[in-house]
Amino acid sequence: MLRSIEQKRAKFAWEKITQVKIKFEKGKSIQLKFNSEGKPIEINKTFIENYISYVKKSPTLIMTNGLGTTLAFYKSKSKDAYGYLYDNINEWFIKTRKIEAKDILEWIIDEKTSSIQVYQVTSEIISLLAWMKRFVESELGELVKNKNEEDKDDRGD
Amino acid sequence: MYFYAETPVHAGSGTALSGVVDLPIQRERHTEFPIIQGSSIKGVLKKYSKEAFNCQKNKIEAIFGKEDSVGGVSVTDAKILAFPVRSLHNVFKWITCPLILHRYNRDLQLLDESISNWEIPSLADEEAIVLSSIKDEDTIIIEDIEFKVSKKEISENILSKLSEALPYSPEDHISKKFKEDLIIVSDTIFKEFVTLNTEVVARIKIGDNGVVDSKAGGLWYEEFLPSDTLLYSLLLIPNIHKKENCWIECLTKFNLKPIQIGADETIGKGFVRTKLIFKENKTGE
Repeated sequence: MLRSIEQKRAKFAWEKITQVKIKFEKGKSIQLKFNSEGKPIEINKTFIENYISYVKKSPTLIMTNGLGTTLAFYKSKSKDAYGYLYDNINEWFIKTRKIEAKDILEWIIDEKTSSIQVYQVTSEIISLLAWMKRFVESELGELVKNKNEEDKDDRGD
Repeated sequence: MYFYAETPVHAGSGTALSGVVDLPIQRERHTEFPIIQGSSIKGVLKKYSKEAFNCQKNKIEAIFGKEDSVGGVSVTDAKILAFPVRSLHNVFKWITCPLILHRYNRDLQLLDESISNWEIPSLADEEAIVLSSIKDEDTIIIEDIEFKVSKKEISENILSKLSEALPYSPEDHISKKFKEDLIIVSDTIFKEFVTLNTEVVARIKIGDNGVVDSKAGGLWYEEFLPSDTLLYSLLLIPNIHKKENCWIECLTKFNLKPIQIGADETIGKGFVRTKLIFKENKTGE
């Protein structure tokens, strides 16, 4: 069955964001794939608020600063939602490359990688992020708002 | 008619949901090269004919049309001829590519059959054809990409047809710079530059309380063609009218004049300087 790249991006974006939603509702944490030795990140309200904000800003950050710089920035903040965003991007990159690649940042730096290839991957990542932006607002936005309303109710007692 | 952007230009294509930019510029769909729709250009020309140049009403209607009849002039979409990019040497350079040169050649032939088929070199993605003083260098850095300087050349004939697009005298700084700093890159590289390296500006709306008004869409990203972009459009006049001097009289008024195209006029955007070149037996360009 023929599925467009757009459909595949949408599905992947949906999966990543739904994962956050489920972990939040169960009060769990996420282990980052690129930092498998590190501490798992707790999925709380702060994480979600940050994640929403970071995803929304990411396409512009990439356009302005370039894919490599932006990813280096995300990877450096592994304790935060930035780390999860890096994971998402990395996972999509590995999934869509036909050549085997382990890590997107290492691939960008690699001598065998041409600037045209980086440009193509940049376009692809930005298209993925466009989907993530949409889902993040609709699926996670209400989680943050609900939490606020619950707090207000508690204070009323 | 040539357009040289003296301030950034936003010929918009509506609001976009995807990606980075909320207000992107018009592009040709299958190449993603920036364009300005012929209808936008025609509207601007008509407005200026009426308001600034005071052409007579019946002449304006004959040339540009009125409510129940089509106007005589055909205005093609403005296509990009040269795009400015950052460069270590000489601040910025202009880039163009074989596809653009081929189309330009074809368009000029539409107006003037005597123009020959140009010899347009093909290029690998890592190569760039440069002119003049930096020819002896092995590489050239544009934006942050290093290109190998190609041994191939571009003919003087092609270069002069490109230079004549500039609305400035040959002694002018920009005219001289253009002859030094024009670079030919491959079609793919050109596309990469014109999609990733346009001006993207963050704009905010400040409410009455002096703070960003996020409810009314307080922050948005708007895309512009940078200053120093060079575009061209064909103005085609049907044969029956070519003897009527009023056409030439009215359109010539545009030559070397500044006009404003596209959005954000009141924040200084869209100011271009035009240049009009007539092909005698045929039509205007």
